[in-house]
Order: sequence, then C-alpha cells, then structure tokens
Amino acid sequence: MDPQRREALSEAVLMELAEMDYADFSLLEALKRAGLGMAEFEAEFSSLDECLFAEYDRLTSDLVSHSGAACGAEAEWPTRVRVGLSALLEELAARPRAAQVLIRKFPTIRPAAYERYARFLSDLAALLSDGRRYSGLEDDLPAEVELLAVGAAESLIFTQVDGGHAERLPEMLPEILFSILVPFIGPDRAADEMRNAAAVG
Amino acid sequence: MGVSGSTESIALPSDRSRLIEAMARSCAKRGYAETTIEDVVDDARLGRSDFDRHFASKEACAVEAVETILGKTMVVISAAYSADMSETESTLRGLRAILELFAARPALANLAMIHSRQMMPERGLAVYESGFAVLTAMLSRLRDNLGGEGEVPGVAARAAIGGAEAVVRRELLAGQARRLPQLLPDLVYSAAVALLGQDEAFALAQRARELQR
Repeated sequence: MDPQRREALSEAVLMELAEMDYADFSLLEALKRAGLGMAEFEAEFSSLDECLFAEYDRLTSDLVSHSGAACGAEAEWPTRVRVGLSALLEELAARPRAAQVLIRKFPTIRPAAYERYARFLSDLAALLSDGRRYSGLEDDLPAEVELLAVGAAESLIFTQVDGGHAERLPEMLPEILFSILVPFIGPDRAADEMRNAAAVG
Repeated sequence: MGVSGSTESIALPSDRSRLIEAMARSCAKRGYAETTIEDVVDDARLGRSDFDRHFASKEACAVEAVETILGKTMVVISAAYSADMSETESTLRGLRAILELFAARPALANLAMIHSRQMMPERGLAVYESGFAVLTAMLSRLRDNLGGEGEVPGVAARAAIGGAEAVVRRELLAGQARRLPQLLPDLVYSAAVALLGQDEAFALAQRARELQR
C-alpha cells in the first residue's frame, strides 16, 4: 500500500475506534472514510485486530519518537524534558480523538491491548534515563523512578483526555513537568523548572 | 493467610462472592469487554440462574467486584491506623496493608487498578476515583502532620499517587502481584517527595524498609 493510502487508512481506523466501541467498530465504514477497498485492506492485513494493533503501535511509536526527537542533546536535562513533554502535549491536544484511542478506546479491547499501553509508558520512561545521573542521587533514587515519573504525568494527562479536555494539556505543561521532575530533583528545583516553563509558555 | 494477620472481614454470601471472584479472574484473563456471563458462571461453577439471582448485569457484577476490593482496602487501612502510633507510622502501615491485600488478591487488584480505570464502563471509573480519593486524603493528612512546605501545584498529590499506581499496574500485568509488598519503600518515596521534600521522602522510604523486616 503506498504511504499516502496507508496514512489515510491509519487516520480512518483511529477515527472509527475513537467514535465507536470496539464491539461496534465497522471496518467497512473505516475503509469508506479512507477511500479504500476491502481487497486493498486484505492485501495488507489478515484481520481487523492485526490492523488495529499495528495502527496503535504506529501511534505510540510516533509519539515516543516525536517527544524524544524534540528533546535535543545539548540543553540541560530538565530543559530537554520540558521540550519533549511540550511536544507530546501539543500532539495530544492537536489530535484529541487519537488521544482518546491511545488511553481509553484501544486499551479497553482486551489485556493484550492494555499491555501495548503499558509498553508505551515504559518507552516514555526510557526517555528519562538521564535524569538519574543529573540528579546526583543515582543509587539513592527508587529503581523505578523513571516509571514513577511517567506515571505521575500519565495520571494528569489521563484525567484531561478521558474528560474530553485534551486541548487543555499544553497549558498544563508547568505542573505536569513538575510532577515528572520532582522524584529526581525534589520539589524546590522542580518548582523552579515549573516557573521557568510557565514563563517560557 | 490473612492480610497483616487479619481475617476476612467482609462476609458475603458464598455464591455472590464466588461470582465476584470469578468475574475478577475472567477480566484479568480476557478483559472486561470479552468476558461473558457464561465465562463467569463457568469459572464459579454455578448456573446462570445463580448469577441472575445476584446481579442484574455483567456490569453490575464487575462494579460490585471493584467495590468489594475497595471495601477491603478501607478495612485494612482503618485497621492500620492507631491512636498509639504517629500519623506517619499509621500511614506507612496502611500503605503496606494495601500492598499485602493486593498481593493476596491479585485478580481483584487487577480489576480495581487496571480494569475499573481503563477497561470497564464509566461506573467502574467512578469507583476507582473514589478509591483514589482515599489515597489522596491519606497523603494530605501526612503532609499536614509533617508540615510540608514549599510551592507545589494543586495536582501534586494526584500525580504522586499516579506514579505509584503505574508501578503497581506494571507488576499486576506481569503477574507479579506477590512482589508488591517489596515495593513499599519506592512507592512511599513517590507518594511523599512532592509534598514533603526529598530528605523526608528518603527518610520515610527507609522507615518503610524497616517495617518490612
């Protein structure tokens, strides 16, 4: 399938899942949205589930790459986190239905789907790996400090997306940033970064 | 084995509790969406009429399962608090008791921590949020008691608990619920650092390690 048609299929599948529950998902409707025929779909995928899982993997992989790429390599670690987080929040705000699919509609399908969501969070946690060294407290911090930080942010993002308020995420950057940084550098330094983020924003 | 030496303290009719446990196991295995009432009654070794006698729907059974673990959580937290202990000590023992409860009841813990939040209808999320509010209140009491200072955003408590929950969910997904009590020091650190500072959070984590011995 050529990239443009693949992209159209991707968008159509995500929109259909955003609007319907999995049980009511209509592949025909999604293909109609994308301007594709069943034969073309079947040449690419053996089942709806294979397609949905592939699309979810693309969505999460793109989000992780987009956030990681935005960080840059030269700035101080908290600044890199801020820039990467900003990229993620802007993307979720710009694509609220994709955000709904990300945190609710897809994980709901079955445990194997939820596990993809958990893997996405682990992939984001890996982006924070430099924080331990930056903190100067490598051996003292919890073994799971990166996942603790991502989980903190996720709980705030989840509330907004699930409530249909993904558009608010960029303005919440300062407090979400605080929640990510605080287990690494403590509340005083995290508050400084929060204030800096508010000033930049 | 009871949780922290306690015995089962919420008495339920046998069939009802079997159905609730079966619902939790089925959701953990298949997910709520793909669990059928037939799956639940088969697992519970009961009949469809038994299910219909106790529950109006699949959702009603699942929501009651979440409420059951929430109720048990409240019981173990209450048992951990004592006028003879400091607020800090009570909070740490309360958190330990929750982890021990989840380790002992992994299917129900999965339902409460994963399914109710993201894999069930909205009523499940409402029950999850009420449990979340209990943990937030514990944290706020601890902060008030220890005199936490400094500028923290209003969402800090929610975020702190969210961080700890992410690690708990990961262990439940991996089928490692029995490891949950070992995570107490790290989860205490996560819960405390934003509201109390790193020094206090490290001290509380150390106290949590001592409690584990």
